[in-house]
Amino acid sequence: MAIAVIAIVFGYAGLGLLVAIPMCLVGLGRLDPAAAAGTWGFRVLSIPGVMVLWPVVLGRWLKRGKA
Amino acid sequence: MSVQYRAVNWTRHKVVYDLVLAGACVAFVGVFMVMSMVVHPPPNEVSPPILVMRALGTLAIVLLHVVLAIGPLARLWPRTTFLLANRRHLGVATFLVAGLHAFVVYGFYGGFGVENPVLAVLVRPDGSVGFEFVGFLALLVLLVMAATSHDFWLALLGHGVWKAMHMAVYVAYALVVAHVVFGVLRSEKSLVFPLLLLGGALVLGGLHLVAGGREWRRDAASSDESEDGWIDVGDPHEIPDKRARVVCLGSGNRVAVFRDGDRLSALSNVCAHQGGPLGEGEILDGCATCPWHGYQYHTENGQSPPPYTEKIPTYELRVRGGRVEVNPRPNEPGTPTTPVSITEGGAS
Ligand code: HEM
Ligand code: HEM
Ligand code: FES
Repeated sequence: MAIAVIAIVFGYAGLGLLVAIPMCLVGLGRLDPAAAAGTWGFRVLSIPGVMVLWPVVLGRWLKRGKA
Repeated sequence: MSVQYRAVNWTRHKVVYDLVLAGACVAFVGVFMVMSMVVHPPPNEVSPPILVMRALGTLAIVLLHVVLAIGPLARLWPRTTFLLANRRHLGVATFLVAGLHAFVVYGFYGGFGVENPVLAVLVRPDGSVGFEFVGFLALLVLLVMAATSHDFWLALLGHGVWKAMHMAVYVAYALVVAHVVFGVLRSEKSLVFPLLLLGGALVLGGLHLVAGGREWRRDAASSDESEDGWIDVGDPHEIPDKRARVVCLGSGNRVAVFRDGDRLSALSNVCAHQGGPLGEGEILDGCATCPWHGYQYHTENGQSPPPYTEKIPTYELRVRGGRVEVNPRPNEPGTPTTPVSITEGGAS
């Protein structure tokens, strides 16, 4: 039970890290113009945020792409 | 507010704040360790890694109390608002210190990678979990808030959702209390720890009750409707120049009625940045200025001066029989209004 919780948390964060790479390089800039001009510090700092919220940001990015 | 995001928008004020904060943290750990060595002289001394672990855990819970106390403090004593403006840095510092505490624990009990440290610390050999697991859950909650603390996330999520996420800090607090009760109080015989914990909870609970109660009474006191639904704000001469009076509309929305000389205008009381109480700020450079982080809005149209693009709703005002009244229906954010004169409509 505890091991399942830990595995889910780390699995989720691992996937988030994969998503974070393209997201911080391009994706965030598509969602917010001020992020497109963001500094490197901002991009690195966004990685943990993407790891937490990756389903949300990925969803918004894909929707934006289709529209 | 920024036109380009950077990691941290350093200002002189923030640099000083963070340096003081970091210095206080280092001093705390130092004093904690020295005190402990005095209280437990050899041969009963506690080994240094365990001391560091305890010092960091204690510092984290102290910081958490400070973070939780600032909100109600700033409402009760506006002088302490400067603490609130940088609560974000305090929150992130809480997370970092708690993370360091957990890291030392993992390192020490997990043999710095000899065993799988995550499992070694969190799960007992028989598969059950203990107070460390509760600490882990608390740290996860703090991580979520710290990771999404940048203004970028605030703008992306909208401040309703973001604020709702922040309320999880109370969940983190409950988990931390459980972590300490089950982890430390079991083995500590001294009464100091349970008393401190109880005292902290009482102070926090008291502050929140007093601040919440005052807000509630103020709202209840201030919504007299006229026949056509406009809401009484009171005698305009009682509003101090360059300041505002806040009234609560039936809908639960709050309006800030600002006085600039003898001209009055009304804005939403909710700052577009993080929902700060705009009406507790003052007019600087001709703009209503939020007390939390200084976002500014022209009082007659609710728009931030260029290059900023924030807009908040405005409200219509009128003066009748020497009293100001506000139309409770908000205008679209950024809609220009005509300021009314204090004496308009004939003072009584
Ligand atoms: C471990 C991290 C954090 C903790 C423990 C924490 C604690 C809190 C608490 C206690 C509240 C709600 C109570 C109140 O409204 O008075 C809150 C809301 C708030 N937090 Fe945090 N926070 C953390 C991270 C942050 C970060 C990273 C930011 C940066 C944006 C931040 C800024 C704020 C602000 C401005 C509010 C007020 C929101 C509102 O009332 O509309 N905090 N946080
Ligand atoms: C993965 C997360 C965590 C783990 C594994 C963990 C583990 C531990 C352990 C093993 C102790 C006992 C130290 C000893 O031997 O005396 C402890 C104590 C403590 N922890 Fe944590 N902890 C975690 C997270 C947290 C968090 C998030 C906080 C607070 C914000 C916290 C606050 C404390 C406090 C106040 C103590 C008592 C310190 C003392 O003995 O005086 N811990 N923790
Ligand atoms: S809430 Fe940040 S400036 Fe108003």
